[in-house]
Amino acid sequence: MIISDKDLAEVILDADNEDLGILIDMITDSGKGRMSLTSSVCTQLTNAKSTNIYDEVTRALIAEELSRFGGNSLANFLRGGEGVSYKEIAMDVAKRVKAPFNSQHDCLTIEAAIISKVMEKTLEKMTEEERKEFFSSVGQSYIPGSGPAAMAALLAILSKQGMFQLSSILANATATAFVGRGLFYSSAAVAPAAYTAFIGPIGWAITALWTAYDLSSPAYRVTVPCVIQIAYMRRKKLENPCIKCGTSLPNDAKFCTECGQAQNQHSTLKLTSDS
Amino acid sequence: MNDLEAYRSTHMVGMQVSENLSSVLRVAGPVRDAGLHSPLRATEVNRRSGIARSTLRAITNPKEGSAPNPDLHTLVRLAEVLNLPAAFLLMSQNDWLSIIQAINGIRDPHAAAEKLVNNDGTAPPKLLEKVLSECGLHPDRPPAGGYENRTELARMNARNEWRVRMCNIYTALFDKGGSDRTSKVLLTALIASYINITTPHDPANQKD
Repeated sequence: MIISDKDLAEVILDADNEDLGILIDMITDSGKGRMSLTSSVCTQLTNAKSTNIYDEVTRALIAEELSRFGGNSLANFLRGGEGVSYKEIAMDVAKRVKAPFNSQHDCLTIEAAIISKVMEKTLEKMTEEERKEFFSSVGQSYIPGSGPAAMAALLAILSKQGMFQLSSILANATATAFVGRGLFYSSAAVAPAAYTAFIGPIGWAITALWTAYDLSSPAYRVTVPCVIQIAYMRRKKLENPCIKCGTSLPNDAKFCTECGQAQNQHSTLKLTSDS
Repeated sequence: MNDLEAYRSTHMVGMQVSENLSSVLRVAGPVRDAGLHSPLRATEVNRRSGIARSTLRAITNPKEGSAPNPDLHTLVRLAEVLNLPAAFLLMSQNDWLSIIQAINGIRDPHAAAEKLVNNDGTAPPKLLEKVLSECGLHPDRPPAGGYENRTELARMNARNEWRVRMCNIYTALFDKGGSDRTSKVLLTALIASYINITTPHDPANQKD
């Protein structure tokens, strides 16, 4: 297998081009390059993005660079710049943001814990009205003034039943905050308003992560947004929601079994607030 | 910093000196057979440094509720006896951990410093700021999206201002000229990394 890390291989090898483009922008700082990214790799990745050709070699390079940045973030002055597994990267981020997990959990579970924790941090910074709007946009009812316990309970329900929604909202806001553009893919599983209305509060919460938690190493500016993006991509592949009605479908479904919508249009759908 | 905060801060450092000195004196004596350590006795400290035993006792065994406040002369003489830089007697475990974190995060700042410092050892003005900027660590920028959060924006601006000020302070402290290029690059990288990891989350409230 060209990507030896199975937790990355299962997400990256057949990922949508648009999602890979966002990962490339996160790794290369939207093509501007980074101190610890060689110019040849930066060029190779940005060329792939500009030509929209993501062959296996490019996909493997994305995985390799992410592994290397992960190694850079993991107290690695003595490691000599070796890469680390994606699971180690995810566990490190989870540990630093104080998301509950254990090493026996799979990446899906660890990523969910990270998503929930970051959303919790975001909600803390929102006004009561914003919290009410947020929960309403994801199908929950929050009464302003209910207090932190009620908010935590709603978030727990949402984390259990609507993790795809949460990860989509968070990934969209993260991509917008860091690379200046959101997700390309839209699904009826997530209300359009939920994608766009909370980019601001989530963006501020994400940019506060570096010092709110012990994430000051420059490499975290890559690994944290990438973990959030990969978490969304993994969920999208797992749940494969219908682009029209949100019904979860088998991965190879060409049409929705519920509404009949054709499903092979991911690269052509665009996220709009009035769709 | 008000008087109470200043008192607490001095008290903490005083207690740290007491703890450091006590720990070191327990093992600083002659190495015994089989490599075992031995304490450095107060009489020996007195003989080598001229520091009275009572003065030493006041530092290593302060009275309940009070913290030692040795003067600079005492601190320097004690450090000389122990073959330590005087500053090390003042340092807490957190201080050391910060330096370790700074070393661990040195990779990118080192690459940036290598790029910015000229072959003859000269460098552009505001070198530390430029290194942090090259690494994407300064200034903090608001997230895209146009959403205004005045509290967060104020905190972000405070962090940026704090960083610039610390860059000026550390430049004045360390940039005395005369060091070779390699040393300059390494020192710049280390300090830039240190400034990055010690930038407080909220400079207006540095207790967090």
